[in-house]
Amino acid sequence: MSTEEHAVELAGLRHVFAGRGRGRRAVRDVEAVKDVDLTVEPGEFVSIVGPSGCGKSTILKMIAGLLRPTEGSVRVWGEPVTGPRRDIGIALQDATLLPWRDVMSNCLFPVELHGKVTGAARERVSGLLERAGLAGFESRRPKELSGGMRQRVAICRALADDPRLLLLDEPFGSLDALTREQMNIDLNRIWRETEKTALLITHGIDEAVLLSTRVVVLSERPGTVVEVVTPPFPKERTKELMSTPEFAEVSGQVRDRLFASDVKVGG
Amino acid sequence: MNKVTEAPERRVPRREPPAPRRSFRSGPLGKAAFLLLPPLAVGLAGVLLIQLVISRFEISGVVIPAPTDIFAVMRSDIFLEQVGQSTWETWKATLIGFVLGAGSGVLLGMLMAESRIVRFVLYPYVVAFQSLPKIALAPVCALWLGFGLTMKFSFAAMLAFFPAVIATLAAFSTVAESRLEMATAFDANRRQRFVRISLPSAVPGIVSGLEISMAFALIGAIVGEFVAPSAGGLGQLLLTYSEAINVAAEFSVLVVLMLLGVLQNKILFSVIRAGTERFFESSR
Repeated sequence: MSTEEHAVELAGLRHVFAGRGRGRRAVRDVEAVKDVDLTVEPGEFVSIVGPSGCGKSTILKMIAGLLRPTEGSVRVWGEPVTGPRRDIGIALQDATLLPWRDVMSNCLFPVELHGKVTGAARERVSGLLERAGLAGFESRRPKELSGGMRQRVAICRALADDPRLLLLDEPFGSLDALTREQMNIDLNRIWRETEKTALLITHGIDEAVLLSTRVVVLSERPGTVVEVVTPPFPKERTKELMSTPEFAEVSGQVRDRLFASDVKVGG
Repeated sequence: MNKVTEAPERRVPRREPPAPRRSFRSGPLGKAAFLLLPPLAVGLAGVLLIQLVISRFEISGVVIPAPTDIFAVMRSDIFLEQVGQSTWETWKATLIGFVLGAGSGVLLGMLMAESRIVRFVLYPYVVAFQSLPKIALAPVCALWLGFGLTMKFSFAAMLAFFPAVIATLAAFSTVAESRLEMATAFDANRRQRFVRISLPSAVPGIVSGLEISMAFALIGAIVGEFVAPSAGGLGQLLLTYSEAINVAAEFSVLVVLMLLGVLQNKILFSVIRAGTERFFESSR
């Protein structure tokens, strides 16, 4: 494979959720996203931020092969997406761990589906769990874990089969602010150490700026790209970074764009 | 910032937290006694009350047998021998019926859950048969299958079948969509989704369906014995005592039936639940 391939390439992407019924009880068609053009390069950490309901998750689901675009094309590593791919790891807002499996077995789930459970895979998962601060929890059940730990298990599961692309849909959305901040630092470290390409969906501006090499701002529904901000920080991000004026400036830039798109639609 | 919260550090003598009091009630034996004693005491008082009322008002043993008479019957060798044999006969029919009926019921439920066409075609019939008072089918069953064990376990199987179908179907239709979507995102095929997501998620629902099936199988076996004169078992024993107007013995059989019911439904299923405990955990 050539190294010049884009990790993700979205061109003229549009998705419409079909309505149903007729007359007064009819549910109208909803255009979730339109004209989305976006490329993610290998090794990047790209965040997509936007107001709620702007179709962020829809874009992610189309990349994951869970939804088909109404128009436009989705390419992952140069190939058109026709369904779920085994080289994509995904973590959603809910951890969705299987309660009857322990932590190790939950993480191995994708590996198992792909028929590749080997000693090496177990070792890789052990390494991931250790990096996620979950060493020693391998044989615990999800109910014995806190919300933050479950979410970290979900991220380890996403990385378990060594995917080239990591898709994250608000994985920390249900966590409290303090835990979330810690998770972000952990995620940054995992991303640096595993050298994956990552795409994060979030409505947290600071979270996006803290984690990303590029922040894509979407408009209100139908969501379309209104701005791409490139935080000029080194790959390693720290909590201290968040209190610097540079960080505040970039955050402000993103916030302004979000707000501008808001007003435009409102007026 | 807020100076008020900065209280000066006080030296408090370190004290060990008080050891939790270990009362008799918190021990395993104490717990069992605490759970069993009150109902036992009330039950005993009830039995005593009945005994007193019967002897005080000289109620005939043909109407309500005195508890002492029932105990006397239950301790007699001839009753124990008859009841031992009959209980085995009834339970054999119940078990065979349960395995066949509930087993095929769970399979059909799974098939209906997985195949829209099968569900679409068969569901009306399942509902129709479910609404039929199936006990009314006992004479027809006897006509077709004779008066022996076959008729008994077939009837038990029929009663056990429908609760298993309905419970299985319901269990599969409530499998969390998010789990299935997660599996799909990791490129799980249909079989993998069924085996690794739907089936384990449905276990609690299926087990509670099986519990109902088991109780229904026992009803089926007894009704089968009522209808088939040569079928033997506790149902026939009940009829025999009834014809002999031996009410105390009838009540003794009822006590045995109750014990059998408790044994199979509560004790057996608490073992099954313990064995499948990890599927009963709910977690996001």
